[in-house]
Parts: sequence; structure tokens; C-alpha cells
Amino acid sequence: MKPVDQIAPEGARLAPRARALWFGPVDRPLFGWLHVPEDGRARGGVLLTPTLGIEEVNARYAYRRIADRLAESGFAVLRFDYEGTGDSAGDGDEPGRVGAWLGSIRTALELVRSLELGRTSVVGLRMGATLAAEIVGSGPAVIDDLVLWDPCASGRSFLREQSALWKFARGAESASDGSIETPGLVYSKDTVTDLSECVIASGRGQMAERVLVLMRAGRAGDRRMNERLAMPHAVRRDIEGQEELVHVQPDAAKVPDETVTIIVEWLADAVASAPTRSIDADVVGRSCAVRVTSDGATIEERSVSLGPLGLFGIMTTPLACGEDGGGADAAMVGQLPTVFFSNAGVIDHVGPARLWVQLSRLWAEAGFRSLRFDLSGLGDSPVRAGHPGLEVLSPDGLEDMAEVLHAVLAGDPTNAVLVGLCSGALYALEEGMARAVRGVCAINPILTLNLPEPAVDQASDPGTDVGRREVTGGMKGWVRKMPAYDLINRVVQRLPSSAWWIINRVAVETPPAQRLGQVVDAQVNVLVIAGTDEGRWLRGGESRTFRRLEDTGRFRMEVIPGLEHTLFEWRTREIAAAILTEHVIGKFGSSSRRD
Amino acid sequence: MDEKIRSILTEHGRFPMDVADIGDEEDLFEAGMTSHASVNVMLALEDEFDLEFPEIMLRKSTFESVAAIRAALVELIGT
Repeated sequence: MKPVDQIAPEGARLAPRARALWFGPVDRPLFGWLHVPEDGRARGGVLLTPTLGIEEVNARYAYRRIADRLAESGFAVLRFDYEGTGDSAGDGDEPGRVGAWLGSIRTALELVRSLELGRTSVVGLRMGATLAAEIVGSGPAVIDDLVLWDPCASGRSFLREQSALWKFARGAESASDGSIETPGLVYSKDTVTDLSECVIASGRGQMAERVLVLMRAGRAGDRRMNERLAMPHAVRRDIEGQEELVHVQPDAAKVPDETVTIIVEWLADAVASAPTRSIDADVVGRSCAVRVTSDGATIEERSVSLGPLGLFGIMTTPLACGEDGGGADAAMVGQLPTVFFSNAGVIDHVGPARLWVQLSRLWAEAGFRSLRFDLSGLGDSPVRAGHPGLEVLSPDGLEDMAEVLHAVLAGDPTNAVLVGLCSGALYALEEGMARAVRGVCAINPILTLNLPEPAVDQASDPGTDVGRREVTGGMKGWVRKMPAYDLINRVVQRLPSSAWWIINRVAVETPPAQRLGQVVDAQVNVLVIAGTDEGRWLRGGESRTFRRLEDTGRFRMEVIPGLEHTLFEWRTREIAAAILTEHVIGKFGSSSRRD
Repeated sequence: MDEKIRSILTEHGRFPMDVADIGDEEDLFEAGMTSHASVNVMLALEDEFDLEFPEIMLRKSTFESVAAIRAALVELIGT
């Protein structure tokens, strides 16, 4: 048996040469990735400023793609998370968010400048463009090149679109306190006010030596913004594919390769004859972030590269108790299970609305070590050969999870709690059962899904002990082959429990209750959190089976009325988070090995 | 006006069917328009008619049918 690689000691890396790092203030570090050319020599530095909210979720993979493409063209590229977003320090509901985001751009810009690569360029998508313009829009040019990629005319226009999206999706009403709810985020009244003051048209400076404005083809755009950007040194190009990038569900987002090429070529033009300079990416930034909690405990976050493929993850570890006894007991910490958070569909390791980050940090204070990681082809993990990446139901999901568990818990792969949502919950249940882990927390698991069969060129490595398995037990083949399968799927969501009992008997290979029972019977403690529709469908009229599962003491199901499938609605997400926290700390927060 | 509305719905509504086959009163969301697509429809209507839907109109019912969209536009710009 060939052992798989453990955790790479140097932190997370992504081919060809990208390194995960923390930078900026030690007490409020920002997280990012620095991409450098293969030969370690760059002609210029580029900063990618992200957009906000669900648009940022959609665009994450596009930013990874453009960073890779720019590095191939000779640039050192920094992509990063604003303070309180992604893996950076802080929370989204703290005061002074807009100031913090602008400060994050300044800090990131300083890091790129510190590389001393001649030209410094900024590429901003949507609100990333608007915020970047806020930094460089007044006074003399402080950067050489600026790409405004489908910019929002103002923070107000962005919030208006996002608010409308949420209202159309959920029938939500406007809040009376001046806050604005959007998919996954609530912007406080102060943030709304501050963000609304970010207006591209308001600046008077030249922004940069060269400016590229990429606008949606066929759209007139905001008149004042158009006038502001009609500068002699600005080039305007129409682009396609923006709606398919930012105005679709995250699992449907497509990287606009044509736009990526336009940006890369435009930036490359300016450095074609520039000298190259060597960059040692290993000395840029820091490889971990250390945080001292309010009660004096120390928590470390470190990027990790896992298993033979080098899957990306961030490990959150409680390092030491505070002097006043704050934090978890050191002896207990070594005994507690490691918590694993995987992708929610294509949403990367930060989880739905950054929930995995918040829970990792919160649970670390109770002594839990946790890992939030990306399956292959998602987030910042490498893509397996022959696969396209960004697959919601990757046939490699179980193999990825097995490799990660083995890499982190080689000694005892059962001392784990797996947390997942949607397809991530399906993987957690399947792998949890196979490994007989201590616990699984499954949020809105989709148990009528069958994973696609692995590609023929993706045979399992016989030398490892993590051979490929397939998830079966979902909809029967003849059902999936029906011409109106999608339509039927939509209709059946509205059926009562009694009808689900019949469907689960006739159309599903293994009814959800039985599948959950198999996991519980493997001595795994299972918590299922579901919305009303998902709960009705999971129960499927199988109340007797569920009573049996509950009688084992290893099964708990909580139905939260109105829980949005992807947890993008904050009120019900808070309830789900509280249940998860109470359950994990209550069930596994002692050193007892079996519950 | 109807022609422009239907043209925008065709371009931005992402319907799985021909927009011409959707009746004036028919529910566009039931017909397959997603919430994301409806925002694009809203923005395209604002571009086309050079207006901004006020806050009170930013609700699903404003965009739920061709007739509802027409009524909202008439209210904002007249016939």
C-alpha cells in the first residue's frame, strides 16, 4: 500500500506557481494568493480587486483563471479577500466596512508595489472596479494601468441590483432600518450609506496612465459614468458573457474566456519590452495567521496542501489557552475530533455566505481543530487531469474527501466530524459511513442524486488506500432518462409527504430514510438540518424509520421553516449555525471517543 | 411598447421557450424566468426606456407578466 502524501509543510500552492499567503496588519491579516510566472521572473505586478456578495462567489474561479493567465504572460498577480470577507480577518457585520474594504485595497496595492516590478496595474470586476476607482479616481495617477471590468456606476446601483435580486428570489420586503438584504449578506444602514457614496463619476483624476473600460455589449450604461470614463487615455471595449458570469446561480457561472484574453493582452502590451525581475514568492507575506481571542486563547490559521493532488485547505487550530484559562483545555484539544468542511456545490471552502470560516473560528475557541477545503476542480484546488473543473457533482468528490481525511488523520481517520451542505452533505454522509467517522452534519443533503460515473481515463490509483467509489442510491435510471425529468422534478417539489413516500418507493433506488439509516447504523452520529421542502422530501412519509433512527441516540433532524437551500438567507442561516454549534460542541466537545 | 418588452424578454429572460408563445397575462417566473434573469430584464428595460424603477416597484409582481411590466412602464412614462 502506497501512503498518500500528508500535509505539505510549506503551505498551499497552486500550479504553475501560486502561493497562498496572509499579509497586511498582523492583528487583521488579509488572505490572498500570489501568482508568479513559471520562471520566477515578472515584468509587472497586477492586483485583482474582487467584487462583493454573491457576485464575488460567482467570479472567484474567473479570478483564479485570469491570475493564472496573467502569470503565464509574465506578471506577478495578487488576488485577495477584503477584510471581513473570504479567509481574511474580521467579520462582515462589523462597523466601517467600506473603509475597511478600501483599506484592504490600499494594503494589497502596497504589497504589489513592494515587489518593485516596474508597472503596477489593477483589474477590478463590478464593485471591485468601483472600489478601485474610489482609490485611484482622485489626484495624480498612482498606478500605471487600470481595467474597469463591467464596473458598477456606484455602490448604490450595485446594492439596488442585489436587493432586487433577493426580492425577486424570495419575495422579501425592504427593511425599515435602512439596511439592505442581498443574497448571503445584509448591508447595514451605515454600510449602505458609505457604499452609496462610492461613485465612479465623482472622481476627477486620470485614474491611471492607461485605462481599459469593459462594458456589456448592447447596454447604454450610466450616463455620468460614461462621461467620466470618456478620457483620452481610456479605451472602451464591449464584452460578452457578463450575464453568464455574474447574473446566474453560482453553479451556472461561466468564465468569460474572451474577456480574460482581452484583459491579459491589453496589460501584456504595456510590458512587452520591459525587463524582468526575479521574485521569491516564498518571502512575500506570511504563511499563517495567528489570532488571540478575547479571552486570551491563541488560534492559528494556516493554508495547507493535502494529499497527492495537493488539494487546498485552511486549517484552523487552537494553539494555546490564555493565561487566565481562556480558550479550550490543552489536554482536551488533542482528543477532540477534527471538523472538515467541504464545498457547498461549487461554492468554495468558505462555505455558504462564509459560514465555514465563521464556524471554524468559533469552534476553535472551544478547542476544535478544523479544516475547510476545496474538492478537486473547485475553489483553489487543482483540477484532476481530464476534468473540466467547476463540477457541482464531481465524480471525484469521494476520492478527494478520502484523500483529505487520510492526509490529516492518517493515524485515526475516524476521529472526524464532516460538515456539508447540498452535494457536500451527500459526500459527507457517504464518506462518513464508509470511514465510520464520529459525526456528520448534513445540511439540506440531496439524497436522490447519483454522481456521474468517473471518466474512463480517471482510473483509481491502485497503490493508494483511497480507491474510487461511486455514490449510488439516487433516482433510478429509467426516471432520469424520462424526457420530462426536469419538469417532473419541479412539480414533485410541491407534493405532500404521502406522495413522497410513493415516489421514494417507486423512483428512488434507496429512499433517503434508508440511506440515512445506513449511516447511523455504521455508528456515525448524524445531524440533518433541512428546510421545510427538503425535510418533507427527506422524511418521505417514513416516520417509523425516523423514530427508529432517533431511538438510537445517534440521529437528530432539525427542520427550519423557510431555510433557503444554500443558506443565503441570514435569519435562518443564523438558526442553522446555532444548531450546528450547539450540536458539535455538545456532542463532541469532550474527549469521549464514542457518543 | 409590447414589442420592446418582448424583445428584452427574449434577450435577457432566458426562457426555455419562444417568448412569443407566452401570453400577456402568463406568469413569466412560472414560464422559466429566474430571479437573476429578471434583474437583467429590469436593467435592460431601464436602459431601453431611460428610466429607473422606483424602490416601491422593485418587487417580483412588477415583472411577473408582460402585462405587469407594461403597466409599470405606463405608470412611469405614460403610454
